[in-house]
Order: sequence, then C-alpha cells, then structure tokens
Amino acid sequence: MQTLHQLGHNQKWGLDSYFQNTIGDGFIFGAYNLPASKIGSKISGYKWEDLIEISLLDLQFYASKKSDGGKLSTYRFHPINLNQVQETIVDGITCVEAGVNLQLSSGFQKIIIPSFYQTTNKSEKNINLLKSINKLVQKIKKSHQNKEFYMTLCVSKDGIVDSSYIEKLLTETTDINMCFDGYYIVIESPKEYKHKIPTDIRVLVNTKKIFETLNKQGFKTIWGYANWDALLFTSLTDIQYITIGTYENLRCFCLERFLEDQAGGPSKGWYYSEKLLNFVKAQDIEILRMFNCLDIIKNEKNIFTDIILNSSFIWNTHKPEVHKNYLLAIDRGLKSINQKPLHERKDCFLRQINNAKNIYKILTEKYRVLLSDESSDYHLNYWVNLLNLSE
Amino acid sequence: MPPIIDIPPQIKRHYSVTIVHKTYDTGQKYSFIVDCKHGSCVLKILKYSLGERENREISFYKQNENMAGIPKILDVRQFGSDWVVLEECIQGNNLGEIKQNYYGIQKIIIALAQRIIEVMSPFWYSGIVHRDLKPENIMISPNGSVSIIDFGIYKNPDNSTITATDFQPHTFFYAAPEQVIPNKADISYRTDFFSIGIIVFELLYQRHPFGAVKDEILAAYAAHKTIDFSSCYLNVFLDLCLQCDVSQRARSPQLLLNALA
Repeated sequence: MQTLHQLGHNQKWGLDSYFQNTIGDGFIFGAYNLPASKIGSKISGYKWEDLIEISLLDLQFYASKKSDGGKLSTYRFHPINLNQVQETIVDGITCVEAGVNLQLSSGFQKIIIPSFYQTTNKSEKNINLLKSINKLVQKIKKSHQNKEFYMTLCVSKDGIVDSSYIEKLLTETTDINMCFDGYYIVIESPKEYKHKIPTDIRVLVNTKKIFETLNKQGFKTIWGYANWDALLFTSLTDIQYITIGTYENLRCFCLERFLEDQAGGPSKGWYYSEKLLNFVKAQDIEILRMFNCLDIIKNEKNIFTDIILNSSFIWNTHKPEVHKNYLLAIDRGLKSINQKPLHERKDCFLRQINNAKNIYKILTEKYRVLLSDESSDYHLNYWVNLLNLSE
Repeated sequence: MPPIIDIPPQIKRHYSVTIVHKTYDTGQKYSFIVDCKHGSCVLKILKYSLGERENREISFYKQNENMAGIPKILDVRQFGSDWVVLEECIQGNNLGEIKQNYYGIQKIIIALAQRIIEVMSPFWYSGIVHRDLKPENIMISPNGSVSIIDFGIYKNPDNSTITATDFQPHTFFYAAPEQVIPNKADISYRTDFFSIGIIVFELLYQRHPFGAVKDEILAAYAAHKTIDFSSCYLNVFLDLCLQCDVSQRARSPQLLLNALA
C-alpha cells in the first residue's frame, strides 16, 4: 500500500512533506487547482521530472457545471467549458478521451480516467457510460501497454447508503469485459452534525464492500479524498493507494465544495492524535494543557507535534505544521497496519481502538476533561461494530 | 393435422427416416430420435407455429453452428401447419438420467465441470448467457464429451430477451437468486456460474446447498445468505460460484477452471 498526497490549494505543503520529510509516496494533482499550463513545468519549486514518475492527475469531471470551476476551464476539453447547446452535441466520451490523451502525452504512468458525479436515479445512464468508456480504453490500451488505467468511480451520498445500488455498481465494474487496471474511488459520505467522519453503518458496510470486492476481483484501488477512517478499512482489506490530505476538503469529498466557497472561515485548526484516533480542536488542546494531560494524547517521534504542542505555538489552521502533523501520523498509521498480514490486521486495529477508548476514559475519569463534539470518541464504537460484523 | 403418435408419412419420406429409436412428448412438441438420410438425428415436430422461443433457439444454433459442444441444426421446414426441426443427435445421455453415477466421485465431477465451462466459455465471452443450465440440458456422450442443449431462453449481448412469461428458468433448483427473485437486469454470465455451482454441489452432496425445500432456499436467497464452504470438497470453486450477490462470484471462467485444477 502506498499513500498519495491529495493536492489542493496549498500544494507546496504536500510536496514539501514528501521531498523534505519523506512523508507519502506520490501525489494526485487536482485540475481545480492546477492550471493546464503548469503541466510540464516546475511546481512549487519542484522539477517536473522529479514529479511525473510519482504523480497522477485527477481532472475532476465530477465537479458540477454550476461550480465556480477554479482552474478547470483551463483544460479546453473539460465539460465545464461546454455550454448547453454543445453538451447535447459533444458527448462525455469525447471529453474523457481528451482527458486521457492529455495524461498520456504528458508522461503520467498511471492514468485516472475522468468521469462524472453519479446519482442513483441515473444508474442505467451511468452503466452505459462505464461500458462506453471501457470500449474507449480497450482501444487506447493496445498502444499503451506499459501504463495503468484507473477508472473514476464517484459514489454520491445517496448511493453509498443504498446497498442494492452498490451491488449493481460492483457487478458492472467487475464484469469480465472491464479492461481497467483499477478504480479511482471517490465517496461522498454523509455525516452527522458535529461529526467529521461517517458513522452510518450502511456507509461503513458499503465502503468496505466496495474495496473488498474490487480487491477480490483483481482490481487495484486508489481511494481519493480519504480521511483517517481509512485506518479502519485498511485493517479489513487491501487498498493499493490511499490519499492523505491537509485541509478537510481534501479528506472528505463533498460536491457542494465545488459549488460554493466553503473555505470554512477562520479556524485555529485541529490536532490529530494517533492515540485518540481522532482530531482534537485546537481550543481543546489548551484545556488538556491546563489539566496536564497533553502527554497522554501526543504523538511520539513526530517533529510537527513537538512544534505545535509547544505552549508558545499560536494555533492557526493556515500553518503547515498543523497539517504536516496529520500527514506524518496518518502515513505511519496506515503503513503500520498494512505491513501486517491481512488476517492479523483486524485484531491489531481493535487493540488500537480499545487503547483510544481507554485514553478517553482516563481523560474523563482521572483528569475530568470532557472532549465533546468532533473531539469526542463518537466514532470508535461504530468502528468496533464494523470490525465485529466482519468475518 | 390429427394427433401425432408417429412421424407422419410425408415427413418420413422427406427425410428418409428408416428407424425411430425413441419418442418424447413434452406436451409442446414431439421429439423423435431417428436414423435418416442425415444420419442419427433428433426430429422435432411442433404442434403449433414456431414461437418466439423456438425461433430464438433455432437462430442461435444457426449463428453458432461452428462452435463445439452444441447441437447443429440440419433443417427447419413447414409441413402443413406443423413445423419440423431436424437437429444433430448428440449421442449419449443427459446428466439428469445418469447423475447417480457421479454422486460423490470427485475426479469425474471435476472433469465434468471443466468440460461444461470449456463449452460455455466462448459464449460467455461473447455475452451469451444460457440461463437454464441443469442436468437435463447437459448431454454426455459415451466418450465423455459434453454438449449443452436447450438454449431456448438464452440472453444475448444486445440484451434482447424473450417475453416475460418465458424468461423464467424451467427448473427452480438450479436457478440463481437473480432469476427466482426476478431481476432480469442482473442476469449475466455469472448467472450460469451459479447454476454450475449448484450442479456440482448436488453431485458431491446430493442436496441443495441453500436449503431442503423451496421456501427455505428462497428465504436464503432473499437474505443474501453466505455459506461457509470451507469444509467442503472443491470449497474454492463452490465459493466462487455460489454467492447470492453477483458481484462476489468469480469474474471469469478462467478463475473457475483454476479452482478446479
């Protein structure tokens, strides 16, 4: 398993953390933030030759026409450039083909085949599109046998809770005729209020089923916009590539983020604790400091933790160290689980969850510190439920 | 024409029928195994016009006449108001007649399953689904070669299918969940995989893997029951075939053959 930086607005942080701190194994550039003219050029001071071998490009066709588009319009073939009249003439396949050809001509080794946001009420249309793209890629692959082709599967929030839709999707994507090397999976998971990751058991079960089934059927998988709950799924099945991201919009796919400015406003930031298996609000860090219990939640051997948990650090979500703490911790966490044989991972992760629950208990009972909302252990019991549901 | 108990003379003359070995009356048609000018053949007399199913079956055999393992159509002709279909007679017995000879004998069950998959593979790769695989539709010749018959309700790649009244498989026992809890859209080559899995399991253990009676089997299918085959012979093969969810079955016939090797 390898981790790939899901790059967004502040690409430099991801690039720096790889080249300077050896965090991660590569990058996924998003067309929303990378103008077409930059392909082939230096990016944030790093040479293209050093990037191309370990990078992929997500052309983000799933971004809605209604979005402000970012840099998407700089890709002349991008569907966002088509007006209503043109849309009826130029079908999606033409745009997809152009997107694939751009990546091939630019030297990418792993090609992300762009595709569209898929809602459950258009499943027949989605399947026909998948089959058409499959035929296109079958032809292209004949002259690019050394490249790998990953088909985008964008699962909407109404799709991920619908098990019959997921079963239908998986039946089609694993059909004998599918020629892809793997799938680039982007899941829009609905979340409860004041929760950062999904706890709906249907979402957890269906997410597990997607990765498990594709893996079982011989396809590689890239999980885009993955959040730290990727730890849970890595303990249950093999996933070849998992993205790690800084800001929340890179760890949590949400169509609305492409429709409106959801910068999130001023925030002091969040501290990711490996021991709690959770993000803790910056304000809660100060509470923990006052109660002298920071040490029981801090990440060990993490230079960024050392910086941001120092009492002199002024918290701000726009400081790179805040995010690099997470990048380092999650990269380590995923690889630590993954290096174990599959049959051992579930118990290993169950122990980590129980340790985390124990620490929350110590905070409450011994130190009388209550962490609430997103900082609380709202998610851990759901994770245990999923692990117990799995054979 | 009056009720037929023998081949009408004009048909006998036309095909130079010399010997009639067997007669079958399925209620829809009479079938005779005969020696005639074309050799040993099956002569079918339909007591009514060629229906959609018969037309599909005939056109299927004609389109695939060079494929191994399926009967060849030699002639189709109308006599009065009746239609006659003359097809190659596959020597041997259908598996339904001799399946007790296979019960529990793992080596010949494996060989049989391999032959069935090898015959069907070219059809699956071209998008054709049999949809009614069962022992009665598997012919076994004295030399062990396998032929598949009765493609009457097959599904073809352009998704055209026959009328709703005819699309159900004739035998519930060997049908896949997506056929008995009808969802035509899910019917694919992996539907046939399930039927082959049932056939193999029955030959190994003389029972249905999902239950003893129809209601029990239906309930298991509706609940997407997963069976643990780890203690069974050919457990990997059975696991690849007998999943209620289509997405969990083997992706390709080659994987099934690997599991049988």
